[in-house]
Amino acid sequence: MTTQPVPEPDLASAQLLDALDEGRLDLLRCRQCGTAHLAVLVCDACGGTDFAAEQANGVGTIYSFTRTHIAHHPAFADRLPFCGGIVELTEGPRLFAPLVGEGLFAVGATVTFEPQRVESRGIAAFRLADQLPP
Amino acid sequence: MASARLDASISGLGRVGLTRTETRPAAELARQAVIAAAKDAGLAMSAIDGLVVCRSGGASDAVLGLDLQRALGLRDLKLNRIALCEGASALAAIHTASLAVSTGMARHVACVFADAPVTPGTQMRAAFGRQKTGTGMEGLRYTAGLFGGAAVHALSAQRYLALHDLGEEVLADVAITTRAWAALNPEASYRKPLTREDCAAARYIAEPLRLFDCAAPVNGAIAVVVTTGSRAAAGAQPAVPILAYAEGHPGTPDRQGFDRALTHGGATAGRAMFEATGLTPADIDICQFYDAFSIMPLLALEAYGFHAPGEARTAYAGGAAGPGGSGMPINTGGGHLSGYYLQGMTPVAEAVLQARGAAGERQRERAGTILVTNEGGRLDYHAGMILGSAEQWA
Repeated sequence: MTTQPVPEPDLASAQLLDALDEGRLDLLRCRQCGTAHLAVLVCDACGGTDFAAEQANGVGTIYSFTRTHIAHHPAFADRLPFCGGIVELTEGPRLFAPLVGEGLFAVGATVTFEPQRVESRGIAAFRLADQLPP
Repeated sequence: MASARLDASISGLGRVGLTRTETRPAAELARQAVIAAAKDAGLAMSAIDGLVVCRSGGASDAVLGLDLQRALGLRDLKLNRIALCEGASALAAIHTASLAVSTGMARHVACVFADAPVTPGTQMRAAFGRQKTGTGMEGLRYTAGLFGGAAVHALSAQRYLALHDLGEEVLADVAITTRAWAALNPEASYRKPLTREDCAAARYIAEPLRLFDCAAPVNGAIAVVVTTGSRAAAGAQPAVPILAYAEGHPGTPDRQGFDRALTHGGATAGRAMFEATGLTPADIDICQFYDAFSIMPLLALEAYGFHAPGEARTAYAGGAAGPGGSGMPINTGGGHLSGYYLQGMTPVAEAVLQARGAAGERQRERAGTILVTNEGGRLDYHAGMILGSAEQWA
């Protein structure tokens, strides 16, 4: 069975993807201006290059989403239709993420972080906050 | 300080393939398109002294590259280059050619785009459904299952509809109008008229985008020849002057307080082109927008200042942008949606035909000032060009 693709880390995302492999969702907060990032080399708000890692509170809202009806990858073939989108964390930054579980996904709906494993890697999925995990 | 003006016009146009049944590889289609464009311009192949090649985002040198020169048997080129700006590559290529002829670096530059994503007899999803893993934050889209252009443009469409409290019929009206133009274009892929009912019944690709909200992939190539205004005026076809060109690449942060999925480089490019020419949106006779997905012309209309945010639907209301409509005509050849998807060259080809007065049954009486747009990435990379008719601008 093919598993869903997980990105290889680059310089900016290494901290985030390593933390996800350990089941955590980490932010990088700019020590100069306090802007929270997920993957960053230079803070686009102030130019700062010094960041402190901290754990995100795991709550966000759906910035946008789509229910996809075509599987371009075998890992998604038996999940059709499935939802994915962009989640905006309470702390500010956004990321692409699978949206899992039941309920009515909508722009602006509150979601919570759900760590998932894909073989040796960890990914960040999100679930509607009012839907309890199984 | 005023910037140096371009002295460049499109003097030749070549189109090859443009169908789902075409089987020649991209490099051969490109070669044939350049030959056709030179012939159209009334030029011997030996007069072509510059080449700018562009290709689909995932394509490599093995698909189409600088060695097109040798395939064409062209000697002593003064310019040979690949233009890479994702979906904005075609206009970027034409701009490179414009600079070269304006400065005397080359005299007649052929710009060509070719793509052959369709394997005849297979499903459309095979055309652009390349498997990817990716790197870093952008790679997470594949973890989320968001492959292909439809899924990421669906995110823009979903947010647009939610933000402005609009329904899918806003997207359907774009598809319906574009199809109505395609009905008048013998080169278009899909020509049977569409209704709102047809659109609402079509299967979803990535919600809210349905089948008719997505481009028609074809195999084919389009080439244009760019030269100076005076040479173009002496050519075999009515010259099509390039009045302005600008790019806009927002680089919008992906975090609270910014709206990356709806921030469009047309705002920057439009301002620059209108400032450089003294034109306003009201002076534009026709728009030829990059419309791989139905949401794209709506966002372009708003970015260029034709309509306020959330109001672009009024451009299409009651068929205003369609044949015989009361408003500004949009994508008069059927665009990507119903015409053919050859990325940035699709809107260029239709603009050239309209500016020449050679668009047949769909020819507009007023076609003197035409806006052409190109989009790359997920609204990350944008190029705009204003083309004119020889009658109005020579």
